[in-house]
This record gives sequence, structure tokens and C-alpha cells, in this order.
Amino acid sequence: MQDTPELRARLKELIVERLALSMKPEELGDADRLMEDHGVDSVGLFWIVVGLDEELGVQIGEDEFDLDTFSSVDKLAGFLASRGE
Amino acid sequence: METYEYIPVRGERMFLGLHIPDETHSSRLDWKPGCVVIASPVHEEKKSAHRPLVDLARALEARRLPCVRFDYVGTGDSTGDPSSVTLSGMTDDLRAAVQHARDATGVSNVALVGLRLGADVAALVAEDDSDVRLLALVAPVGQGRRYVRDMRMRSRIRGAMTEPVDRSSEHGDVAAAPSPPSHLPREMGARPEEGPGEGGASGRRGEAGRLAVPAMTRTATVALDYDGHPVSPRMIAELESHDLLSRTASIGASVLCLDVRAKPQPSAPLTALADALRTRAASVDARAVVDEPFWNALGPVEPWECIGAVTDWLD
Repeated sequence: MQDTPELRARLKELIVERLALSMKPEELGDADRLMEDHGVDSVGLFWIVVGLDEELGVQIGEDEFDLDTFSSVDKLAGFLASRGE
Repeated sequence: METYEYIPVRGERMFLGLHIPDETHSSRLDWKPGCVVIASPVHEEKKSAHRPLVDLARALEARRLPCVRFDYVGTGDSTGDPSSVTLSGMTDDLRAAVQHARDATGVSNVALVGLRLGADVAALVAEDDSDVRLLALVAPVGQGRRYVRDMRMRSRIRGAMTEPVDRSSEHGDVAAAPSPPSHLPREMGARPEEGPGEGGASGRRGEAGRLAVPAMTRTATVALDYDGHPVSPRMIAELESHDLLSRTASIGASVLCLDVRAKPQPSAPLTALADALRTRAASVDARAVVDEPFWNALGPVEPWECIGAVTDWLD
């Protein structure tokens, strides 16, 4: 999986849909801080993990989870690209 | 009319809520289910889903469909050790609830509605009960290892948000569970102020004092703390080996596989489960409703799209 504009667009769509954010996916900035700027809580983070599995087929291992990785679209896209899948 | 009863199950007292309309469909139309039995999730999901499932029961009663809901032994208002809740025990409890529903209504054909792990339990019960005519599986787990993985991930996320995680202590632990949040006792992870089951009997629905629940005694070893809910090694083992997709026993019921999500299309896991069930069920209808996954919500949710889809399908 490569860090492409398409991947980032899918991540934004996933995050906005799963978390029912009151915004359009394209309005979510790559560097927006999900927790601080959009109020994403532990349940929201969990739904992003579930969404990655269901929408992209990416299963995040328990030991792989890190708050920093899920702090923004930038970080998440970079993490997925680094897994090399 | 909404009443409550306790029945003896597995040496404990199991709580049931009965929603029996004055006039039932079954008295006039014999193809209607004689009674609907609702199988709830467990753990934190049950707490979040409690009110919506009560709303579902009341919606069914309003449609003149008798309905029974219940708390598994060791959960909610039933007595028993919450750390001894297992998939096989939940299955026994649902069978007992179904039998009680039949006794209460005098009609043998029933419909089962299960949510999350309750859906899986309902599917297991339907395998050996030919009088289960309708089976509604709402957001079923399907594969227990997914549930275990999700439990661990939720604990991990919550732990990461509430306190720094000491990675050096994780390896070699029975379930590699993260440290419980700081407000939980480390030896168990349960909230000492809570009674048995999902949130404890004392604080639930304002019914404190209605039943003198015996002091809880933990009899099972705890392998994993799931947001304050103790999960035993036996439960973990049963979940790890549970896979609705690989089962082969026939199901006589017509099945509804219902996803609850942000999109109107069923998810890939639900579609896979529906495909697997088509080989062994009378019929399978797989679909999704756009609604909030209320079993994971922190605040109050009114999932009327989901409730409407289930009641419409049953009625």
C-alpha cells in the first residue's frame, strides 16, 4: 500500500463516515489532529481500526496500535505505507 | 404489558423482561412468530445496547408481537459470576429463555433476534431448534477471533489514552492485555463499586432494591479485562474456536443478516457470513441500514432505522 492521494482520500472518507463527523471528507486536513481538532475519542479510534479492516482489508495488530499513528491522516497514511502491504 | 420474572438457570436466577401485548398476532395469523426472543450482546456492548433493545422490545409489542428479553447468567440483573460468562453458557441461557417464552405464550414457533455476540448465540440455538422460524442477526460477530481481537484492541486504545503503556510488562502475560485504566484495580480491572454483570445490578434502570442479589463471588480466572468486564480464559478459548462461517448444521429458519453502519451496503464480513449461511439456511436476506453502531456508542443513541428494519422484517 502506497501513500497516495487516493489512499488519503479513502482514509478521510472512512474517518468521516465511521465517526459521523459533520464535514465532508475533503474538508478533513491531512495534518488535522483527530483527537484535538475533531474530538475523536477511544471509541472513535476503535472504529477507525475496524474500518481499516472492513474497508481496506488492513488488520492492525494489538502491538501495532499507537496513539501517534492514529493522530492524523498524515501519520496514518505514512504508517500504512510503511507496512508495505 | 411489560413484566419481569426470574427463572432458575444453571443454578442461578436469570432475569427476563416479558413484553406481552393484550392481543397477539399469533392468535389470528399462525405464520407470525409466537414470540420474539432477543439475545443481547455482552460486556460493554450490552451496556450501550440496553436501551435500544428495550426500545426494540416495546416496538415489537406495539406491533402485537410478544417479546422476551433477558440477561445472561452473570450479567445485568441476573445472578452469577460475570467472570464465568462463556459462549456455551450464553447458548444455554438463550435456550432457557426460548423455553420460557414458549411456556408464557403457549406457542412453539419463535423468532430470535440477536445483536453482536447475541446474534451468534441465536444462530447456534437455531441449528438444533426447528421451531425457530425467523432468525435476525444484527451485526453478528461471525468469527470469535475477531471479537477477541476487538476486545484487546479496545482495551489497548483505552489504556493508551488514559495512561502511558509499559510495553515491557506486556510480553509473557496470559492474554497480552494492556494495563487496565488507572481507575481500575490492577489485579482484576473491575470497578469495585459495580455489582455483577454489565454495570452492576445496583445502578441499572433505577431498579435497585427490587432484587436482593447475592454478593458476587469470582470463580473463574480472568484472562482479559474488557473495559472493566472480566473475561475468562475459557471464554477466550471458546471465542477463538467459534466460527459461524465454517459451521455446517442446517438452519430451518429464514435469516436476516443486518449490518448497521454509515453505508447502505453490507460490509465484507457480513456479506461473507450471509454467503456461508445460504448453504444451510432456509433463506438469507443480507442488507444494511444507515444508523450508528449503537452497541459501541458512549452516549444515548436511538437507532430507529435499525429497530424499524428488524420489526418490519419480523412483522
